[in-house]
Amino acid sequence: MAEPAKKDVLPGHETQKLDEMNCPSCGRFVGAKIHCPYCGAKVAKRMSLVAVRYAAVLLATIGLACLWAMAKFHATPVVKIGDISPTMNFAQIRVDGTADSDVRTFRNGSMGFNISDGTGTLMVFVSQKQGEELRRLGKLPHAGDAVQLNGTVSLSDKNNSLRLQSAASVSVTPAPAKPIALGDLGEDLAGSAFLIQGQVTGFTAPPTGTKRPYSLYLKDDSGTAAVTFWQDEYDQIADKDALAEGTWLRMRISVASYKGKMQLKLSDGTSLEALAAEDRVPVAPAAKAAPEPPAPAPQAAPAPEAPPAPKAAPARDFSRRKKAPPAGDLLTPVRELNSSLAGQSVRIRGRVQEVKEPAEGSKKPTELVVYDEAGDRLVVKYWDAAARVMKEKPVPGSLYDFEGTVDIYRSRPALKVESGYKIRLVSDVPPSVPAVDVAEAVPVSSLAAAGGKAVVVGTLSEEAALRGGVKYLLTDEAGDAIEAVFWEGAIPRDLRAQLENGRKVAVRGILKERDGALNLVAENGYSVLPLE
Amino acid sequence: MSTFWIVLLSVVAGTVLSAGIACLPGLHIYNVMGALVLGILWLDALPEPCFWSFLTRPEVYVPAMTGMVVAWSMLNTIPSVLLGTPDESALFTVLPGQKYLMNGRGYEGTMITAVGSLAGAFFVVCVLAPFAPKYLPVSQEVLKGHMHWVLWIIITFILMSEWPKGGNRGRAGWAKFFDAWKGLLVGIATFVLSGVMGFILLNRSPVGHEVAFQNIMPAFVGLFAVPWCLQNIISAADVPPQRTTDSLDIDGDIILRSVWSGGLGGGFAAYMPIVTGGVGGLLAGHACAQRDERIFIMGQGVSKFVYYVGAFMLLFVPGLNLTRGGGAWMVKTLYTPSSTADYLMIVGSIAVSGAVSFLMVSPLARLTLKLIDRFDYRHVSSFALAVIVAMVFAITGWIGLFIAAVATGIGLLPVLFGSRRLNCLGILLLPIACNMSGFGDAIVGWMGLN
Amino acid sequence: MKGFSHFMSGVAVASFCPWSIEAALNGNPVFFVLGGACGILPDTLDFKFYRFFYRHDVYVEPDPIALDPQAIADEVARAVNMGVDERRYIRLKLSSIRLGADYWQQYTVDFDNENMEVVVRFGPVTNTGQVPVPGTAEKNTKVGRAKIKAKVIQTYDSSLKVDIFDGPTAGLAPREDGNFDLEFLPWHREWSHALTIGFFLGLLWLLGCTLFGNWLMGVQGLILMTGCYGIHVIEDQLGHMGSNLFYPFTKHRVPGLHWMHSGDGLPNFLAVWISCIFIFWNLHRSMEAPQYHFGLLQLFWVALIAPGLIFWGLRWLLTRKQGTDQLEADDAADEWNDMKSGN
Repeated sequence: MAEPAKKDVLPGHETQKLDEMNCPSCGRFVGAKIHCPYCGAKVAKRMSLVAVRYAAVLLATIGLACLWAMAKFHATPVVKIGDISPTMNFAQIRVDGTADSDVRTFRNGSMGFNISDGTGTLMVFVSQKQGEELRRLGKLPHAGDAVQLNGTVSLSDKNNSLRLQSAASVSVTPAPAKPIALGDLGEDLAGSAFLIQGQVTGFTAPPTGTKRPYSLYLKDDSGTAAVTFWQDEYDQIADKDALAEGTWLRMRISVASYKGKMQLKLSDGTSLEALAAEDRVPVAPAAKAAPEPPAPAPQAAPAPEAPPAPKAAPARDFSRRKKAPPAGDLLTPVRELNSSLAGQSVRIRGRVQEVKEPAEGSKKPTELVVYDEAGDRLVVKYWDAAARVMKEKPVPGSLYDFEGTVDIYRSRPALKVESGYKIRLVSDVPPSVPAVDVAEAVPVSSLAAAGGKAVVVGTLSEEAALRGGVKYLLTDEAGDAIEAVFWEGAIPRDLRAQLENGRKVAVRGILKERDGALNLVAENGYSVLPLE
Repeated sequence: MSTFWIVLLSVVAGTVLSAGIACLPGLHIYNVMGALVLGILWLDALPEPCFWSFLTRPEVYVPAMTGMVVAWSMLNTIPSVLLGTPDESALFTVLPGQKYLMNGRGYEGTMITAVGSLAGAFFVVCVLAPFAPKYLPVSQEVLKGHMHWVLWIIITFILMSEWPKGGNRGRAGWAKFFDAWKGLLVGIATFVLSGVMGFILLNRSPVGHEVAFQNIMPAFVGLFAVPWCLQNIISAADVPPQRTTDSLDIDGDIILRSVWSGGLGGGFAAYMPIVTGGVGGLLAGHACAQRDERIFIMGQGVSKFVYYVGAFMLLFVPGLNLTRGGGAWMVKTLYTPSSTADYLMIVGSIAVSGAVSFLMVSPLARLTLKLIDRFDYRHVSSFALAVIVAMVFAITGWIGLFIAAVATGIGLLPVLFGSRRLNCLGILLLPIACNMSGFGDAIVGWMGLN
Repeated sequence: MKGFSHFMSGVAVASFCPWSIEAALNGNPVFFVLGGACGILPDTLDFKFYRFFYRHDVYVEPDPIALDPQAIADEVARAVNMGVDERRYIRLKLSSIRLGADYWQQYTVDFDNENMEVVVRFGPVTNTGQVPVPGTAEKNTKVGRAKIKAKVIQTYDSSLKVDIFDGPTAGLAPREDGNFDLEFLPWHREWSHALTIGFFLGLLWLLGCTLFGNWLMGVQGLILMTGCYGIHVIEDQLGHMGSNLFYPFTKHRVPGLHWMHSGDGLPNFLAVWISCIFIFWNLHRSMEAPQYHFGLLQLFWVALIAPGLIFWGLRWLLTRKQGTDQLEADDAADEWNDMKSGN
């Protein structure tokens, strides 16, 4: 215990050497200061204490740097799931295994999937942001994929799990998907991934505002199948036009079973590709689990039973089989198009406001007036050669991705698109559907000469197919009629589907002379307004 | 033997075992519980049951572990106050506790804190336990998406509420300003350095993955325990003669107000992820604005008890599914609570263990006073330091010692520059807050650790 | 009020801004952090910045080697007499006396207006925890006395006590009757505690955000900062000291409502707890499909009124046969002591 304080010593100084604490000049306490705050004298004797203080800073900094370097070059240990013991709780390990299931999304936005390596199975938890990052990188595992990842072990009595450390640590090798005929798919294959090809017989989108899946109906010579997918996969599909009836598609799917029924799920939107006739590879029925996926041989003869391509084979454009970059990736805002980008290839996304068709026989390009998300205007030009390979020509109101070279004309940028495949429909739902102004309607009897524009309200009848369109007799309330022509490339698909005999509509169109009679040719875009 | 007697004996055994451990400076109950978990797993894996296999029964080890947590949170006050070897949550107990010690009233300070712990036991058993199943799920539902910003505002408050201690003499101006801010800047640097260390240890810990359940322990030892020991060894004044007393300078009002502030702080720390008893005590101390030092020291007893025991109890609250604190995580590796019967068993165990522990405080405190009367205070601190270093080496090896050494460098900054030691908690607060806000991965990427 | 009360009030105000919660749910805590920071910022500006640049007319810096109360008394008297002679406001700084690494010499300054004297007494040596070292109070019993030319009226009945860390500042404000009012910490709430300052800082935030191309966040921050800074000023106005509410348009503090002292336990606790309740309520309101449904009054009943009644009932039972002392102090002294003892 301490001795009682000595009389002449200041409190607290009893166990301290005075000359270590006080100014050598005036004798006052200076602590760790190197200059006495009272007399200003330099306190040389205190340097050792100062050194200790800064040595601590140095130790902390150098030590931390060493620790960081050690950690950086310290390889995360690869651990077998079966070897995980309770003392490894919170350990950062690397697991090398196979995804047992597709990634599931939980209510809070986080995700999870099971991974196994032959010695055990673990649930891997992926945070919402990590999930988004994995999706962006195209690393979301599917059932059967080989997966390597770093995670933090979380152990409990009942459920062991791994929390993914970072999206960057994930490595996914897609399972080799074997080709299979549609007729050979069955519930017994649940958990496997396959490559299928078939002709589209139908496609349904979920009603707006619902979270139901898309359904794609396919057939091949062996049978039929329905493939479902969600909005995420739909957004990944580069060429959405390929979902049209009659198109031959190839895609990667996984087989699942739910309540005793087989479900086919599109593994990845980017795996879906349209097939030209010569690209189709015959898959023998009843050849489940073919030993090796046959390489798509260009010289392979089409199967004799294979239906003909729905349309005449267009000029080959090799860009179509390249997987498009993920939606939203590499897009250039219109406002960034300037002279420095002249001649360079860029991709922009915009909604078509106006389509300016060239005069017949003219070699001028079609011009699209496009506005991007920021509201900046751009003229996109494409020529007849590009137009020939388009299934549907751009229509006002729809959203497209355009890929082309930047052209600067009179200081204003334009985009020249060389190939029809470089114009991809993103959404054909306009932000607000421009209605035809019924108030502008005129009676058919007042229509006299070609060349003008007019709005006519009447009832459709006498439907007749045209090459690339359809025509109706449009009869107004006075009983006067005019032929109304609706070209497929001009009218959005959803609107076309509503046209039928007996339907009362308002049509905004251009008056044209055809076979000696005056026709009303519906304008591009939402130029028809169903009234009943 | 009926389950009742098995549980009762187990609780008492765990309490007594923990009482001895709690008086040893530098040894944390979670380290001992970790060893116990390993032992149980080893016994469980034996091909043939042996004599000790009864320890693998949940009705044995769960109450025993409860007793260990309860006894340690109450009895660890003794070395905290009398030997100055605190864990992080005792940071605030030590300051006023040492005042009592330096005035020869260490026994009284210990007993006042222990009374606080006893009051905390009443709070846990009579207030928390009945209401937690009803109200905590509600709070969990509302707060579950918001924990990250709660951590951020705690960080903001910790950093903003430290006031300058320098700049006390001289004319106004920049020189005075810089003198004052030196400590604050060191405080911020401490927080950042601790945070960087946390990022490293939580993402690419060099500690072997086989003992990862203790991978943050060397850092905690280095940040908090070693600097305390070093400070005591180098600069501690001699402890004056201590006196014991048969009465305490407290009354019902002080106990009630202590429960109010301590329960708030300890409860908050128990419920929030990462927030420790020290942070809870700091916030509750500020929130309740108590001027009376007795309320402060007793409130810390309440806070510490509610923090450790409350967090442990949350694991068993029916319908909550919340794991907080090292003790709960360790039990979870052995047993998943599944019924209200489990909850009632835990609440009963807490009550029994709390009572037994409190009865042991006085004799153990007197025994410890005899020890420090016999041995030099510096020697006791040296012994504590040796125990700590041996423990780190035994569990994590040389690499753990290296981490502890680096952490000591950081932990010494507040000691040497007079800033707040709580800044060392950046080791958990910063990386976890970043992770919870979703940009931890980006920082780890910048550090090249992903 | 204490810093934490202001801080939580700021967070509570931020929770009333829907964009704060929306941003937080997307992982962005900036508005809540801004709210808390602005809540405590007025005191931060004073105690962490301004006071180090506040120039004084007289610095009393006692010599720790030759402890002489008379020298201190003479200096204080010189400051008072300077004010009398020059008829102006005098700023007096009393510096602390550090004896060792953990030891400080306490002293007190009193104004004896009956005898027109300033009286300086040395107290005990204290450690940094402000605990007196036993036996030191009797070591230096000398009293310093010096004549002053005018009375110095203190707004509260206590001495100027100097012990650890920084010593206090006293402002001597001339009165019309020729005497002086003693203002404790005149640099505190001089300009920082103004509603206009919060708005000005919000404008700076708006400017910064606009420069980075996010004017919407700037406007949201402006509204939030003005509110969160303002709540500090409003809360302080409930106390005694008051604030200079519309600096630079107003020059002097407007006296507070005298409803509480800034260090009182209950008002501080209520400020924090009610803030927590409002934050909880706002988070609950923002949920799309909550599983549990309750109203604000129900929340107040469960979280405040019922436990409060139980607490006070218990307290009455425990204290009905004994008196309870509540230490009283001045607003400025409260904040000054809190600052010094802050851990």
